[in-house]
Amino acid sequence: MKMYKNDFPLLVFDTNLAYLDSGATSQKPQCVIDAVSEFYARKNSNIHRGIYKLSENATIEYEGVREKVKRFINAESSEEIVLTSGATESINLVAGSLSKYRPWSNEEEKRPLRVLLSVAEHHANIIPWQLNGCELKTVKYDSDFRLDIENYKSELSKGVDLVAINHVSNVLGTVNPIKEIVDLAHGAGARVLVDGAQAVPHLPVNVRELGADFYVFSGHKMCGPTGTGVLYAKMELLDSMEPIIGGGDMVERVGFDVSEWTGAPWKFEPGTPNIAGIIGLGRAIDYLYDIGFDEIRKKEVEIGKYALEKISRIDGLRLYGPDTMTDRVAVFSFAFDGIHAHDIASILDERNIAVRAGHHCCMPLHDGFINQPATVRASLYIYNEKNDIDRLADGLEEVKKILK
Amino acid sequence: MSTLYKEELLEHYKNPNNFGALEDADFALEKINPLCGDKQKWYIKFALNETGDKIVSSAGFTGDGCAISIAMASILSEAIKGKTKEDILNITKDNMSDMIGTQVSPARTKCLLLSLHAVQEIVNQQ
Repeated sequence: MKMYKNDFPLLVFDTNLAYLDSGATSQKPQCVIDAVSEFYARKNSNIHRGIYKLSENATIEYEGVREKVKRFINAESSEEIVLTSGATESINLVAGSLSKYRPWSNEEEKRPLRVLLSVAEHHANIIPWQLNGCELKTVKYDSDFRLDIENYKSELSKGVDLVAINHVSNVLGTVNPIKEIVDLAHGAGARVLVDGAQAVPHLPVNVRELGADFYVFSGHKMCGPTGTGVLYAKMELLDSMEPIIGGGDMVERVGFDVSEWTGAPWKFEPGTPNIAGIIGLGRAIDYLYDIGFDEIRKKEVEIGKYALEKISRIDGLRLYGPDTMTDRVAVFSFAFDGIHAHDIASILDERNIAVRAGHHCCMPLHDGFINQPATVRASLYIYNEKNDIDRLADGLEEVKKILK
Repeated sequence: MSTLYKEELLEHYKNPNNFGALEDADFALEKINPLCGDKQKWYIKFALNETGDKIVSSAGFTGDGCAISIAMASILSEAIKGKTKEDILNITKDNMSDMIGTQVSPARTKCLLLSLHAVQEIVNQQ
């Protein structure tokens, strides 16, 4: 199987680093770094406004990324793609807009938006709803670390406007059955927002097949630059939704009494966006396509199986996530009784192994389900090799020797 | 071998001094480490010394935590005995590093200082 490590200059420079924190952010391939620096060095200008070649070319390249994203997630039209700073902004945008006005509701009442979340949501898919006064309910996970579908059905039947749920859990690694979740929600009159931040780096995503009304993700976990992201929404929704951030470039006409927005998606993109970053995101999509998602998944299943086998042999380690690679990505969260996650991470760091320790922005999941304040998470990506797993396993044995 | 987790630190972690609630404490206060949500509760009893200054006569703590926060609490709980409010408020991060005999990374500073923040907050309320 091909090694992708050599495409990533940081990993070539620091050959001794076992980088196992791709769930936080992936490393960047040279081609993405080049696309960003080339924009600033050769093509820098503002988009949408200039009547000169440099600006027109920047606009063409920036808008071309919208087209790439459309193909990447199989949206119907590139106008369904809002380019944002990340999944966090995307969710805040939807929460802010829907809490003011729900396009699919005929109700005049001013009751809060009722949002159904899972217990495994990232804080970015909890707090935006809270900030906008939404009424939150949660769906449980079962002891196999899968979404409890019966509990989901019963919560849905109690009256829900929107289901906001992760495609892949950043802690458990579980892939949720989004199509089933969407079908059930639509049957109950609810819409669905899918947080795909942890899915798009690993799986081919087809929003039309999934039926998702909203799909959000970040660029930086899928080899793209930080500060880039996407909000996909069905055109009929995006069309009637109100913007929540105002500024230049989003208007048809501005007066001091009243202004008129331009159409979607541009009405959601005021101000000068992260042009170079978005162009880098486009290059990251090309990079992943060049490898191909069949290959990405094949490699992930192979190394994931190896990791599961290797860490399951470590005495005293408790894994929080499915124990097979079926409907799962290579994100492994675990704990040892009596050894604190931060001590584990510090000892691994001394051996140049980068893992994450803490609640991974999922405090409710740790408090209410895992029942540990903190876990250690090793999250893998295309550039990881079996050697990284061997070093992790050896490091964990060393941790036990030092701290037991 | 670990340069961070030295023998003495591990000894304090495994058998911490003054671990446990102090029944006759004058003050008790719980501090949370925002990095991981670990809680540490401190109990302090005060007395007057020969010159009439208020000093810490005994201290105890409870809670879960990482090796660094527990070992540091163990060391600090001994170090503050007989000390005045002034002495305790003057303890710095560098003093803490010296006492524990290791340099922690910036990410772990909160673990190092959790106990000091709890103790300083208690004496400040005096």
